[in-house]
Amino acid sequence: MEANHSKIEAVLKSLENMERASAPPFFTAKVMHRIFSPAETPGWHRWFFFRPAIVVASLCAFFLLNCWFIYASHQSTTQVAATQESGIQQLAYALNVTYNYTLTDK
Amino acid sequence: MNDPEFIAALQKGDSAAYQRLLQDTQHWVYNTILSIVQEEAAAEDLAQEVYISVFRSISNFRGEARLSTWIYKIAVSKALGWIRKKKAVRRWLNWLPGKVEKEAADFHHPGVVAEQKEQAALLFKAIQQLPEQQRVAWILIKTEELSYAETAEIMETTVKAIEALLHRAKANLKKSLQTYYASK
Repeated sequence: MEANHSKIEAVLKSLENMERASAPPFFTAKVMHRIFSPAETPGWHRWFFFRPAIVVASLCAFFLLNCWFIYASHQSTTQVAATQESGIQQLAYALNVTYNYTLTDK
Repeated sequence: MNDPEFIAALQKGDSAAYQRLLQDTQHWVYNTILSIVQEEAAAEDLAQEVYISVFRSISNFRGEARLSTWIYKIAVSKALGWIRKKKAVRRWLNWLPGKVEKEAADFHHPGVVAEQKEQAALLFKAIQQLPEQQRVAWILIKTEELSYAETAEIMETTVKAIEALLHRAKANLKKSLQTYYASK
């Protein structure tokens, strides 16, 4: 227990005489190149591609648009069916025959 | 470095001013990040990102704090952001079936003297287990040798809070080292 205590104290003091790590070679040159090269100039394409939230929001908007499209096309199909049914009923009325057959009976 | 003319030159995008800034600050920026993230390649990338951020946002620097404090803040936030991302990725990967968690390799800080390499590696492993705030306070004070006041300014808190963080960090480090030695 006592031995462990002294080991722990030694470990806690192990960073006391530590020197700073030097930056890697050519660090200044690399940073200067990144700062002053045209690629680092903010452009709309970088702004777009490096903002994950925008990409996720765009995908969600695309998905919702698709949902709306499917819903709208389904609605219009139902309306066409209803119009067809009502036309048949009108024809039956004009011909003076009874028409009880509806699409929903299927 | 806090000379208004120098800051104005940075704000104008003067390359000589950036060259000087890099020469004066790169070692402590790199060292701080390296001590927090404990990966040399990531530390280099993040240190580069710090200067890109400085370049992009120096126009917002009003001189209310010292330039070094402002750069330290950017460096600490970049390093913590990287750690959070890494943790999030690891959390996702753990969902994969049959994934076996690999234990991280020991980190050997290049500035540690040869006789203390093993002990320092053990300490860095224990530091990795500390909560973010305690880890940052410990590193800024113990490896960067900043004062409590400077650390408080960087972490946007009070000197008393830094003292408390350091006290808790020491207690937690002792606890994890005790567990390590007890299991040996």
